Amino acid sequence: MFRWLLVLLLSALLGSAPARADAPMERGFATASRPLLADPADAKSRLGQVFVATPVAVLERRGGLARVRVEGWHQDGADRLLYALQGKRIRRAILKKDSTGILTRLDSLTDPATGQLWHRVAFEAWTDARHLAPAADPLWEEAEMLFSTRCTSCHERRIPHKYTANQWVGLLKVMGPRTGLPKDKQQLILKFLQFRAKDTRDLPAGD
Amino acid sequence: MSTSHRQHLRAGYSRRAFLEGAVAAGAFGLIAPSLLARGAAAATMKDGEVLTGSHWGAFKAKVEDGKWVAVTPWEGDPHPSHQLPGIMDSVYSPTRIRYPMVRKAFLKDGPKADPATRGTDDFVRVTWDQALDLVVKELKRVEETYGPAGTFAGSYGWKSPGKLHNCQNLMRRMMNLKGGFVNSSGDYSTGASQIVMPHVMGTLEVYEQQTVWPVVVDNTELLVFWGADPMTTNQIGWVVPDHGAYPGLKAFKESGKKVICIDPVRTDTCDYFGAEWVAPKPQTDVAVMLGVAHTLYAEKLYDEAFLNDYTVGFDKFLPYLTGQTDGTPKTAEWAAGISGLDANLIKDLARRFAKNRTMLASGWSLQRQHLGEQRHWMLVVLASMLGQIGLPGGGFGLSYHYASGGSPGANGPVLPGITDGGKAVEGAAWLTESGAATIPLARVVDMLENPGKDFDFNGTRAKYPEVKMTYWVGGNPFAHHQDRNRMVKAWQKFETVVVQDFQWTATARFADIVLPATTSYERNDIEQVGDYSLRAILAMKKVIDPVFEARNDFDIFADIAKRLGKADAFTEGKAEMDWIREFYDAALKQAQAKNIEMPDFDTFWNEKGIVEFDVTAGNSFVRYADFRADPLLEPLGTPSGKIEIYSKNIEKMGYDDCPAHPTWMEPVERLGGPTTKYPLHVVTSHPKDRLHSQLCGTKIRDLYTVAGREPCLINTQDAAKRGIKDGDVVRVFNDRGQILAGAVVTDGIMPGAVRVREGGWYDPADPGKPGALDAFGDANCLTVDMGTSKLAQGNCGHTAVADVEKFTGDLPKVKVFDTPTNA
Repeated sequence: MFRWLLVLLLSALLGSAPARADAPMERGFATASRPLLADPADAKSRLGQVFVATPVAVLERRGGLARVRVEGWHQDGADRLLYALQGKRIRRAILKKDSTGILTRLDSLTDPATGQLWHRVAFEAWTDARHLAPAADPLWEEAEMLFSTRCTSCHERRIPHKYTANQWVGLLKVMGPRTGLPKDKQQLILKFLQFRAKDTRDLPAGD
Repeated sequence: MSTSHRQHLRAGYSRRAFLEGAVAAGAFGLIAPSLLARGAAAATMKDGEVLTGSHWGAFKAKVEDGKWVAVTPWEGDPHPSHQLPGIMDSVYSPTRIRYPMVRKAFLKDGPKADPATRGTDDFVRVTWDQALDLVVKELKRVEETYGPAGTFAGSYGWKSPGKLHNCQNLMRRMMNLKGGFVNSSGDYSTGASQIVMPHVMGTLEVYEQQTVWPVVVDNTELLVFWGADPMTTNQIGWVVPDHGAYPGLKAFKESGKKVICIDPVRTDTCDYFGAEWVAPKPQTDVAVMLGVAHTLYAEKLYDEAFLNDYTVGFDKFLPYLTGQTDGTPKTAEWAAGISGLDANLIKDLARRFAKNRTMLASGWSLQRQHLGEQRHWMLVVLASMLGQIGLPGGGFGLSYHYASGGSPGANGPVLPGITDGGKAVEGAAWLTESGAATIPLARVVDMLENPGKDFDFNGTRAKYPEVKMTYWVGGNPFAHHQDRNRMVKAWQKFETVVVQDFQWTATARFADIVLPATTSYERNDIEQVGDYSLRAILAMKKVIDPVFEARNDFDIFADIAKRLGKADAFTEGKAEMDWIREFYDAALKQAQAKNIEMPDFDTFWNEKGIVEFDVTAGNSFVRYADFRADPLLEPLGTPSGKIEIYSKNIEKMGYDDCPAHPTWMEPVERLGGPTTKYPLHVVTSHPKDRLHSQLCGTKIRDLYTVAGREPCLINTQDAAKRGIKDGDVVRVFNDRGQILAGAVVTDGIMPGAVRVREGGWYDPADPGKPGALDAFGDANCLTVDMGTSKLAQGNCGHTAVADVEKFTGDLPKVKVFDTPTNA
């Protein structure tokens, strides 16, 4: 959370923030994975998708839609998938192949663990305002409940910090469908575990 | 086989006659009122046929006059297990636990009783109320005296299937209401690979769907079973098995394509396919794989593009392979010197693997050995060099031998099940290790011996807790744990041991308090059919009323919870059928959302008792096809998103016994090893006629025992050298233990190896005495009890060397299949 605010602050200072610096920034959290649109009046102007529990800055509201700013990290050469942290594959948004032109690059670094180059980027798009919540806590509470009831009946309860954020991706890919839950709820459990993983739980950057 | 089957059926009839006698005697004895009352209240069918399920498959149970008299496979089962009659006998055999029992010394002196007399069958019958009062008294005493770390509830084993009567979840559900407990992680099947594979492939691998059989049959040209015997081990499933691998195996056989079995034993699978049998010295597989890899490299048969696009670290592994880093090129000749295989064969394997669409299907025995982390990691490196991962029928698979991996998945819904009640715990206490602490399961004896000692595990360091009590359900650690003599001594550190089971296993015999549970066939439940296929949902209907004083696990733990003042939290106000209906309705809701036809619960339960689902997309699943298609959009769960031939995360751990890339290291002992004392390796394969130790206490033993003991396969040459003839009773021994077994002299096992299948019931001639001769043949008297490495701390149940001699002393009687005195 702290890092998010810092990023917004930095963005504002660098002049890339679309909102006026004197307006208070409204934060939102996606309560479901929803389409991202270029044009609020055109449902076909689809740019991609924002994933459940992703934090956004709400810039403008119009009817049932909101213009939001999303930030994330992508690996060099793979600019369609935006993650919460560099090197940790905690999904924030995915863009269509021909939509990556909307990205603004904020900075870059080489991940010391893998030697891979990562870029921090931001974009703006329209999304469903009805699926934005002012706080993430109710989402995490739901995730914890789902994890403790749906991920313990076939095997011993797994402890989130026994695995890394990336390993949870591989595990949920296989085990997620075996919960019988809709995909988005599987994604929510995944994110819950990823932010409590071996290599993220001490970071102040939880979404 | 067919002859012994007939014998078995005859034995079954005589058992039934015995049982009728036993019940009749009971009816006029002291249990008469409760038994009759229970029977009247339950109103189970008196005559007829019931469809239900088990770890061995779905089956129909015929009931006559309230007794279960015959078992026939479900007609939807493509390959029923020959073990089904053993299930029926497990209900009525003399090894059935009939009444709550307490060890005599424990009843008198409680936790101060001498633990050394455990295992001597000196039990006293008590009432259920006495038994449960005593259990609760001990739970409270240990919690108050030692805190949450005093109780070990990491109970593990092949509990019976069923979404409700999941005794291990129910036990932890009760324990979570009681307070804290020490839990365990991992299992005895895949201890090493389930820890190392997430570093290499970003996922467990071992419990995941394989490229399905129809794809393998159509595309695979060379099928390699590396330490796997799928014809034998696919009989069982963690849920109710669908046996969906067998039609695949059969179709592959009919295709006439080539199969290679790499194994010290000519397995049933090898015989079934008429496969080429390659028998390296046990535990040298990494050397063989390195020799194959070196050949691929030297002859430029490897796929450089695949390594570049889909893997990281080959550049760091290569100098090791070529010997640049250690002066030893890992050539086929080098591998031949270690493994005993011909160097030309190793080179030929490399050429054939590269030339064909090759599936490397490995079992888990490879990783259940000292340094077991290296085996499947090296297999992945080999498959990466071959470059066929993600192609139809190519690559590697670590679950073709288990629960019908590769059986095409159906489109049906998923049943939820009873939970351990974690959500009832306040806050997020469970996030810090289930209350108190968690240990890698297979280190339980090390923990008992060394409370407070530091141990390494997957990059972390922690201290062993000091546990004083254990409550074991749905498992038989006196079968699955290694180095039995060390274990018998360490178990004495427990002040209180509670065991809840339906069979007088060695574990039950070494307990202080024994509680008789019902079998699956004396209660109602619900389960999926097909571990990977999820092909059907099955009503596991009660066949007969509970036998003797057996009670359902749910009811036992509910009564304990009630004594702890937590009855409602435990039951949530729901009884057996309420839970089952709730689980079914949750699946029904998913089916409705997916437009899948499914009857309502009452129709399902009262009519067919099974609902089957269609297989559509599941027929064409290719593992890692998505990753191969787009490694950036479908990255693996590793730090790099690619296959990690070299792992920086493992490098950072700095373990001397698990370097950052697959490496050949000498295990602590092996056949022909430089410091190894004994001349024979002991192969401890999964049984053909049991599920680990389950059904060992039944008449199905008649199918395989030799001179009334567990068989020991020995090569003709090794037998001749020792004057051993087929059918002799032999003593297999090393510095850790000694067992009796029945010799089977054969050329179906390589010279230098003997095979004693794991799971034979431990039957010490002098119970509680360290080093006691085991009269029946528990292979784990001989195996080493150490972690595979600091990384995974898995068990090493396939690491054992020993010698064999003809037994000429006074033969101790096999007692472990008799009802204990007074019981």
